[in-house]
Amino acid sequence: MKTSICEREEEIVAAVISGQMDRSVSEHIETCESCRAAAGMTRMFQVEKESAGDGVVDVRLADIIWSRAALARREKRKRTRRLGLPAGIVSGVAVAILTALVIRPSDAALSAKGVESLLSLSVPLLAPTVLILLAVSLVSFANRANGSMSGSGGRMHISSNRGNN
Amino acid sequence: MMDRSGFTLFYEETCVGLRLYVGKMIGRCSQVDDIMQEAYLRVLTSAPAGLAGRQLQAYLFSTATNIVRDSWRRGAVAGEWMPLDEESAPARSDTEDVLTRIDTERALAGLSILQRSLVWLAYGEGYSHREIAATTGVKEKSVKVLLYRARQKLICELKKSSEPHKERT
Repeated sequence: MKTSICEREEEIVAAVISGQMDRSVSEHIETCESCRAAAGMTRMFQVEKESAGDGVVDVRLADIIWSRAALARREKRKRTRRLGLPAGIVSGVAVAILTALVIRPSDAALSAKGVESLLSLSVPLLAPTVLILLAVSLVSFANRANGSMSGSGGRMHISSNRGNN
Repeated sequence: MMDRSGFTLFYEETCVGLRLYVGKMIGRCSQVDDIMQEAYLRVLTSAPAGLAGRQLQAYLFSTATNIVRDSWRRGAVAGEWMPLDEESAPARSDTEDVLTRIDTERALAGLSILQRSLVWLAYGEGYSHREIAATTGVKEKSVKVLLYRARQKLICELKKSSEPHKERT
């Protein structure tokens, strides 16, 4: 028993939808039970689609969805800004600790050069932290500026008009 | 990113098809609007940049499928997701005859949610098997078999629903 559809089914369905039925397609439909069923089903659904498409599309719903999306994007930006600074501090500290672990000075080196050596070692430890904090501040500032520009649009009206449909 | 007028145009082009698709899958009018709004919302907020035309439409339908699947998992949508049975093929002579007297709503109610999704995407939207696989999350090779079974079952259901019609006429 056949348990799958004909290899030409996609081609047949596309031809029925586009209305471009050439001779080869028509002949195949005549001889192939699977494709005949597919063609019949395609016609059936296309008729249904056409009758459903006769109604007027309510674009007010599109406006509502657009407004909801704008609100969601704004909320996401706010969340990112709120998380930005703490995340930057944590990652900066983490980088500093990792750096300290990688270039750990020996006791001998410290005792030999004293305070001067300690100060020179602190530069590679602090530099990544300062750089990361600076980058986070810049990104945060840019986000805020961007948010205040894009947020100056009209007020949102979030309600569903489903009852009217 | 899509601008407002672009979205309105996209909405106008796709809303009828999406409404029918979601309606066919869940068969409950009260939830169709909610699922549609959520699908469009996710397209606006999460669609990968650069998607347009048919790719964006496929993304929309895929998103709607996922929302329906999540609703079904929560128990908000009734019915089976996966087809669990194999229907035998109906006799050749009946097929076209049945399709001319249709009661699709009642017939589709006899299919699982995934089966409804498959037949609509294939014959309503004209999606290729690859597109159907991407939209429903089913492997491309499995699409052919599942689609075949779904179609056969729909034909059987259409036959059943046309029988009272035959008796009346």
